[in-house]
Amino acid sequence: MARRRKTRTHLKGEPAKDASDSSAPKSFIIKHGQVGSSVSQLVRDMRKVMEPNTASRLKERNRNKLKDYLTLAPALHVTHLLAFTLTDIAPSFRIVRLSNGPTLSFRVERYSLMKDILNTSRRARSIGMEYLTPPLLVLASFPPPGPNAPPHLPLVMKAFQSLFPSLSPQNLTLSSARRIVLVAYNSELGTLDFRHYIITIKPYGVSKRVRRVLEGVTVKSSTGSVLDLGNEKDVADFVLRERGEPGPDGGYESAASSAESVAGDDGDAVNLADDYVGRNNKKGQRRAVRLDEVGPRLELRLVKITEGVPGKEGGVLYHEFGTIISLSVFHNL
Amino acid sequence: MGSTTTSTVTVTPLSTLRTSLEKHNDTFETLLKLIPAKYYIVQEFTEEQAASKFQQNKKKQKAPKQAIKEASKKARKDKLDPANQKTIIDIQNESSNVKGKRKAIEIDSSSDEEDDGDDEVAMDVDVRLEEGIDADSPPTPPALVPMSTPTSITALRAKLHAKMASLRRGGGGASGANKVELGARLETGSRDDLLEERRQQRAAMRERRRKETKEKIKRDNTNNNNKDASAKLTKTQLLVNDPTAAIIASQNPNSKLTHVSFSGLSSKPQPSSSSNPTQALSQLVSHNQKVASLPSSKQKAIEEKERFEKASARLEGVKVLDDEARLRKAIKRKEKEKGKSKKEWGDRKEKVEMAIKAKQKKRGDNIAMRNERRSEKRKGIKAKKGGAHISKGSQGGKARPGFEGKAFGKSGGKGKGK
Repeated sequence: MARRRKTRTHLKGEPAKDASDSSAPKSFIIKHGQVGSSVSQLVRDMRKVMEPNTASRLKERNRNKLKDYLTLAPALHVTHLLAFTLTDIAPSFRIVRLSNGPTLSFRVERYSLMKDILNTSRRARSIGMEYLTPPLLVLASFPPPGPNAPPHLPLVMKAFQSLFPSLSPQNLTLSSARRIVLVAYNSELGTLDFRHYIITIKPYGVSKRVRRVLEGVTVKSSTGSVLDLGNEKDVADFVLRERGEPGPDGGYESAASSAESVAGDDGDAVNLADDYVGRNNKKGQRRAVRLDEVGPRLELRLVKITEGVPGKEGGVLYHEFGTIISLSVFHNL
Repeated sequence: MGSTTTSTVTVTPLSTLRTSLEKHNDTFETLLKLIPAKYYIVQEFTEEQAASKFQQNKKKQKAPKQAIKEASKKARKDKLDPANQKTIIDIQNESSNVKGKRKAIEIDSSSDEEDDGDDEVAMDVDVRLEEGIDADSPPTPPALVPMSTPTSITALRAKLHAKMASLRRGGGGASGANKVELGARLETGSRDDLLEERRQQRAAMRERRRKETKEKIKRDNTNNNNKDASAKLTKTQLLVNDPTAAIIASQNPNSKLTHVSFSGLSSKPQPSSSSNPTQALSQLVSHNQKVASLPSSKQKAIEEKERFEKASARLEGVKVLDDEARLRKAIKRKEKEKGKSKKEWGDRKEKVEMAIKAKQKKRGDNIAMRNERRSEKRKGIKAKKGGAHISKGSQGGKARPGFEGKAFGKSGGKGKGK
């Protein structure tokens, strides 16, 4: 009986409190009301996307109402609430800033689940280590704020930016950037596209595309030594694919050298700014960066922005489909 | 000299002086002869000797054993040879002869050695022991040749300068024609040219440094001005807060933007920007009054703008206090807390005071009790001595629980000792 150690109740020092940044915004992702299995799966996928600053194993019961989460949140230092629900028209998605912040309501026009995307793509499934660091947010194609730009878009941008911890260039290490969340604004349709990618680094080698086709693949491909071009619609697509164009399975790629790469150009290979995860990725070496899409795809349309939280809603800041006519005008009709 | 009083000083004759001096010298020298000469003279070893003495384990220096043996034998024999035992005095005499010869030789040449003076004053014993210049007669100096008669002092001076210059130049090479291109100026430039060059370079450095400091001062000034301008700007264009500086930086619609945190100022939106709820409430009230006094169109515009600002501030995490009811509740809560803590403080103070008083009282009581006991004890003894009536108090005084035996203390030492 040398040393009795109570390790389950008496923890020595600060256990995991410093693991995640205390200033990082934390979120709850919930569904409420009657939702089907797909939306439940979508909620689970979104939890994976937002790791590690979210409650990934949140247990919600049918009897839990929205206001339960609102009362719990300040005690747990949770800053955002992402709520999915089902309406007659479409599933709806709300970003609520706690405790008295604005609510942004979106309508989910279309969505794809993670398992569907992983089944269609050829890439190997990821190891779990990417989900230990928060993803980087990329906002694309938003009109710059100015006098003639619509005023609600900067709010939307800010809402997404506040969901993720901010990047400080001094403290950021290259190895902590493993995933990317892309939110792109489609100005014709007025919708937002939500995508989630995993960053992989591929060695930028010497083999050119045509050479690969001619010489064949050596070991990796399971279908013998012939390159598998089954997913391409046209050989020209394969041979002439420029860097930056999406591959047949939707991923983006900078000048990589393997099967999906362009015929031997040296264009966008990057010099690694620092040591990166994985073997042989040392600082300064030339590598090709590849984004593989994983994770759910969402197409969102902003419906309204209101002050206050659901349940204590204040004034409407913006409404997509028109403004509420005041009662006096209504009476006069 | 002042008065010429004849002093009765007996002048000792020269001869007695001399004899006494010589006697003293002789005694001194006999003592000196007893000390071997090596303690006075610095022996400088040649390379070989030093190696052989101090580096005997070096592979190179190892002489064959036979040679070493013979050398040591020879050394022992020499040590016992009386001719080798020169006393220090003999050595000094020898060296004086040697120095005299050398002086005679060197007087002709015009070197400026300073040893001459020293030699005359004191006998340097800086003489190598092994110097074996035998004391021959000094060689005849070479025939003296008179110098050419000087023309004038200026001619002499010119000749001297010319000779110095030629010496400096290394005695050869044309002066300006062979300058190396890379600017290596050492051997071929003259001294004045060198000095000129250096002066110019130093001047150039100074100019450069002055310019740099001027530019730096200008830059700092402009930075300060820019900072002030930008601070004012952010107050008017309220949609342009600092975290969106990244957005402004990339103006094209296809920009990819990330939320980069800069350490910039984040302007808090009005109406209230203090965390103290009373102050915040007063600020809010005044702001609302101001807005209400403006014309209605302006009011609407201001309201719109403010709403968006407040929403974005709230999204970023800044606490915007614009709810009067909430502020009032907060004020009330704070007041209650203050009152409560005041009360608790008062209670604690009282308690502490009471505790002190109680302790003092108890102390006083204990002292009084002790005095009483003592006085009873004394009274008890007196009563015992005086009369037969022994009061219980005295016995009780002696029979305190735990102290029934005899009084210990100094008497206990007796028992504790041997």
